[in-house]
Amino acid sequence: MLVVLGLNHNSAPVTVREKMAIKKEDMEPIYKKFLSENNVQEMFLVSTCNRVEYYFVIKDYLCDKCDIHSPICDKCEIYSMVAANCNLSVEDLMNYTYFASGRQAVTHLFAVASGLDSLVLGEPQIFGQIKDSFDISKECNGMGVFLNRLFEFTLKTAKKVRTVTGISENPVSVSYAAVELAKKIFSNLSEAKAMIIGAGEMCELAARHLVGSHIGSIIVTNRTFEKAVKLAEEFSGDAVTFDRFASKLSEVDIIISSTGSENFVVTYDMILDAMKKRPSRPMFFIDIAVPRDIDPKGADVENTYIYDIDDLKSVVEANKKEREKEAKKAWDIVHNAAYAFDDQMESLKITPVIKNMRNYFEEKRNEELQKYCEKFKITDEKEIEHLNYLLTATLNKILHKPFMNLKEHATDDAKYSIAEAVEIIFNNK
Amino acid sequence: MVSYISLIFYILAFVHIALFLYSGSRNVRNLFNIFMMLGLLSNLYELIIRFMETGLAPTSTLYDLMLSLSLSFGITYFILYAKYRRPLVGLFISPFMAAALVIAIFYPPTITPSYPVVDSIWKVVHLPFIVLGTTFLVAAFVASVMYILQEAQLKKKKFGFIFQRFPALDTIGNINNTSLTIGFYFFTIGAVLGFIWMLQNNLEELLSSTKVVFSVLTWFLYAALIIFRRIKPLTQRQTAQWTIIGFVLIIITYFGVASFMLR
Repeated sequence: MLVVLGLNHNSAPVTVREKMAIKKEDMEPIYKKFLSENNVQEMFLVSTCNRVEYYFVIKDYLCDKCDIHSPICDKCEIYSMVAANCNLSVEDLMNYTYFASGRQAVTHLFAVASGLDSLVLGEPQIFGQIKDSFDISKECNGMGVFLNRLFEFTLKTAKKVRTVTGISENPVSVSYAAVELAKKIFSNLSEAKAMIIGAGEMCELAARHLVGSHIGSIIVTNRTFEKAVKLAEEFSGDAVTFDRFASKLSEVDIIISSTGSENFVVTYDMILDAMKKRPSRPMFFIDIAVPRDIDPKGADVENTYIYDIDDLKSVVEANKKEREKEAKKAWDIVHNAAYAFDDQMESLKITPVIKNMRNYFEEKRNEELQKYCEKFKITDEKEIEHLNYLLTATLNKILHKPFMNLKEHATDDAKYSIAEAVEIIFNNK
Repeated sequence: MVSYISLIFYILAFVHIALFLYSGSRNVRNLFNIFMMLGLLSNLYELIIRFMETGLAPTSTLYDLMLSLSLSFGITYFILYAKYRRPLVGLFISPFMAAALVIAIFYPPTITPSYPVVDSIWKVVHLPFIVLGTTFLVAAFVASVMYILQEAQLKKKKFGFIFQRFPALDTIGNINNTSLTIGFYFFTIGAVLGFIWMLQNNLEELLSSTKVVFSVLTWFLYAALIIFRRIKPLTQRQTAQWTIIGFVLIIITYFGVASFMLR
């Protein structure tokens, strides 16, 4: 049975999360240690900046509802194992972590991989991180039949969530929303030029998003020219001195400004002058500074679009609501996938039963064939082959229906009497 | 009748593109393109059958002209879709296609042209150019309306589903410019051929017809727009506004054509 013990941004503060975090290079010994435990059959670990999770496939899992200090409780054993590994007391670990087993654990994994449990709902990076975690587990021999199948289901479910729902479609960060808005004016950012006014954290983030969206080129300007040069170098752009940026305005399509200035840095006249030189090409101004850097009156100039931090925040809020709506659809997909996974794993349990039955019948067929040949002194190989063919065909005919019925009813929850079970298995209707 | 089938396909296409506007579903968008293509094929099939039966050019009667117009709208849509991959142009084009077929159905092919000059070879070559030019100019009008709507939303900072689904401003602008240029060149060729046709016939009577007056007016407006854009760059919004005025003239011209053909 699959169990998960983990913590995330909701359950634990960063001080605890950093204690639990596992570096990639430290994973192998941890895998070795846990896999040597008697009841751990398979395992994999997820460690990202917002979450650390231990997934174990436990043999003969007993219960997780009994008292935590009971010696026969598997949950207690798992807590002790993990606590010893990360130098935390069991009590501490219990305070900051969550635990799930069986279908709940599977549902949790599918939800995590789909971004439903992320700090930013629907963020796509977690999908890659989960994939990497499975890869590491494979390298460390943590994967078996169960986890391999779970891996396939996880990928399938997360992909389905992304394609069927719009959970990751609308940007939910201010700088990303700004870049997405720019795409509503300039469809191909690789043909557009951007200017970043300021060299602070917000500007850096905006520049990062622009570069991620393949912006054609970037110009950076800042009162402290050295900072502008540094930021420009980071994004392979050009730096201009602060007193010269106004002359460059007409050359750029997107302007992102975030300085600490008390007055407008980009004035109405600057915008008017710039637009006179490029009347047919629009300009998009993004003002993420408080107090504002760009004169809002500039929006009266034709072909200019000015957005301030409040406009962007309202976009982000609307997008968040949109994602929450989509999350409901995503949860349905995740729950259904967890049931489907359960069904498939249950149906797999019948496979060894069928195999044993088949072996038994084949053994009997061979014995009877041998006896018959000895009794009637049949030595001709051709004749033996024909007899064998006849017996095998009859056997297949007889067993086909019961085996199909077994597979079909392998995941039934209902309890049957022996008579009922035989009736179901051999029912030829 | 095949035109009824085409009409059903175009109506289905319109319903699907309207659903796409609301939902953004790719499957719905693909269905829209399929219905458009099916409509187009049945439209083409009917024109071929008509030609084989009558031997007349596909612009000889109002019925045939409207079938050709509808087909030409479809061709225009698919050319623009192949270049820009923006199906929402079809939201506005499909109603024109359906409307052309409704007119065709209202004026069945039994009504034959009564005007004495209609069978000239110049007319046969003139009308397809005019029809294709017109549909591209209508596509330019569609793009202009989309541009004005999308620009207004960007200015007012309203981000509803129309904003989400409509293409980026520069893409709409490019669709407008491409349609305008292609439309104008086709229209010009058509107009020149029409003029030759006119010279062979009763010049005075034709010159006084509403159709010719508005055709010339329309041509001058688009010519001025295209030339003016070269001399002094217009903003995309100004281009859009002039394109809309041009469209109004086209509509008046077509009413002129209708009255001329039914005279």
